[in-house]
Amino acid sequence: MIIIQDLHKSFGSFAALRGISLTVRRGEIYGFIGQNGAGKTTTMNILTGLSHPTSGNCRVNGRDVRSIRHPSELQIGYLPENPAFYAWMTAGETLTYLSGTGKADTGRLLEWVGLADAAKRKVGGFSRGMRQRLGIAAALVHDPDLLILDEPSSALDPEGRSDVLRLIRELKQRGKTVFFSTHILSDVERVCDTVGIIAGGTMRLEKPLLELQRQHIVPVFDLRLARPCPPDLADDLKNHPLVLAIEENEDQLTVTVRDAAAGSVWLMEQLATRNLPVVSLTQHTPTLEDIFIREVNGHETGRA
Amino acid sequence: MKQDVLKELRYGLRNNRFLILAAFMLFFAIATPVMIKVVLPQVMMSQMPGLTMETLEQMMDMTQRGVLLGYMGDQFEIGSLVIALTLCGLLAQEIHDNTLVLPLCSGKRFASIVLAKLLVFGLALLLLPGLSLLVCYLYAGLLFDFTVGLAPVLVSGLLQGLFTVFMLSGLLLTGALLKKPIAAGLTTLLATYGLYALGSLLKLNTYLPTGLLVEAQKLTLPAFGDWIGPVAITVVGVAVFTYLTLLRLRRLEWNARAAT
Repeated sequence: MIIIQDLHKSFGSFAALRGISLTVRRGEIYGFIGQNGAGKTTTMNILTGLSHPTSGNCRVNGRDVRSIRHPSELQIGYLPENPAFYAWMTAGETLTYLSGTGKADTGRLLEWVGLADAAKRKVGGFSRGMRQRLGIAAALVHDPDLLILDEPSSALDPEGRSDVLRLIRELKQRGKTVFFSTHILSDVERVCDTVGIIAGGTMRLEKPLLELQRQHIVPVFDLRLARPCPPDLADDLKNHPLVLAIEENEDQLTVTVRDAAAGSVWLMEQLATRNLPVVSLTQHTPTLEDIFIREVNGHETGRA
Repeated sequence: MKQDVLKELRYGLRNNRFLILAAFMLFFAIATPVMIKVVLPQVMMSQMPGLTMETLEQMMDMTQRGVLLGYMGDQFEIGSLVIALTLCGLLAQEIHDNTLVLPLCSGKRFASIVLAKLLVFGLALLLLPGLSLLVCYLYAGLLFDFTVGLAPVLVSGLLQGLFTVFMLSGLLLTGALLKKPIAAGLTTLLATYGLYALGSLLKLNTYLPTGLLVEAQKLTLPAFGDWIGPVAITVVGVAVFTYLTLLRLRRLEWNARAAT
């Protein structure tokens, strides 16, 4: 549904996008994550035909965004980060106006997003959460197959976020493709099929969530020893095929292993052989947040 | 297009745009005859002891015609200001606030959006000056005498109305160019006053939209040769401004974050 190749966008001398590439397949929920200012909204503006790329290829629904004369030719539903409505219109009037025909089933849409009771209320009096939900209804007014949602759950309270994520899951069940940006990583873990991380205008990572979890979310053991680690302990252990990474700090040892079961047995054997009593051992798995921070830090280190 | 026209009508009604324009024009339409008949003579006589009504009538045109000319002068000087400030956000505010982003993504065409604004507010501006001039004509006729025919007054009102439509197209263009309501309003206002001053100084009003105002102030049924020039140049001006507005909108980058 979306293919971006080597996309660049500059504003004067500032390069907002520096060669990003990504692919969004039909029927998937794609989480586009990045810090504020990473280039998420710039990418989305280009995807929706609201902004023009400096260079690179960008195809949406089979159309090259450079070839369109009007954003509507891309046949997408779009929810901006801060959806701007006419404060003096009611929710029902807003959807009727956006539908363009006056015949859209706005009542059903408003009911689906939980705004049926507010259909005759002016949008100016809506809370942030209500505006986001109305924005989702507006994006769906022409029943498009592809939805582009810019930070749909940001700045919402937990209940509002939960509602928005439920709506996104329901969109997938209806066969829609959803490309949404966020910096709330737990949201991505809850609904996405594929994750793309953008930092400083470049793509740092793009993978299906399950593959990402399999590859990057590996077990980590935090051990506390009865006495300080011997100087050669980390060097001795790090070359073993089970070990991915190892860090030591006085009496603490953090070991990242490929396999939790085999790794824990092997680790305890190694410590017993060296007569190093263990005070505590805990296992945890890195979250998407850990991966994100690592990727972003990697970018910043590289940039520095 | 129908939905865009409905939207503009709702905007005009719910944000009191029509009310502000009508209230201003009708206020001056009623106030001007009273000012010339009652207030002004009293003020001048109190300031200048010994001044008689006869002398005052020699100094000022205290007839229905004089009232109508006074009103039309106010209409241009103050009315232009009110129109510019009331309608300066018609397009500029929409661009500034990003309220056009969702309509654009929902399939609204620039032409439909702009033409709906021009149609709804253009019609209001075309009719309101004529209507208020008619009110002024009737009230001035009651206070003084009916010395001017109704038909020339209606024609004068229409010519003034057409000039305000030209001003509206200018507001839309400056709104698209500057994207800031007040800047668009003030630029259009300065251009309007400047055009009139230039036309008067260089005697070019026959070839400018401001010629409509000159023709209106004659308060006679103008000959075809007198009004066709200013009317044609105004219609062409509105068309060119609208085309440039659409061209500008097509080239704009949308959904940009407001500069902080």
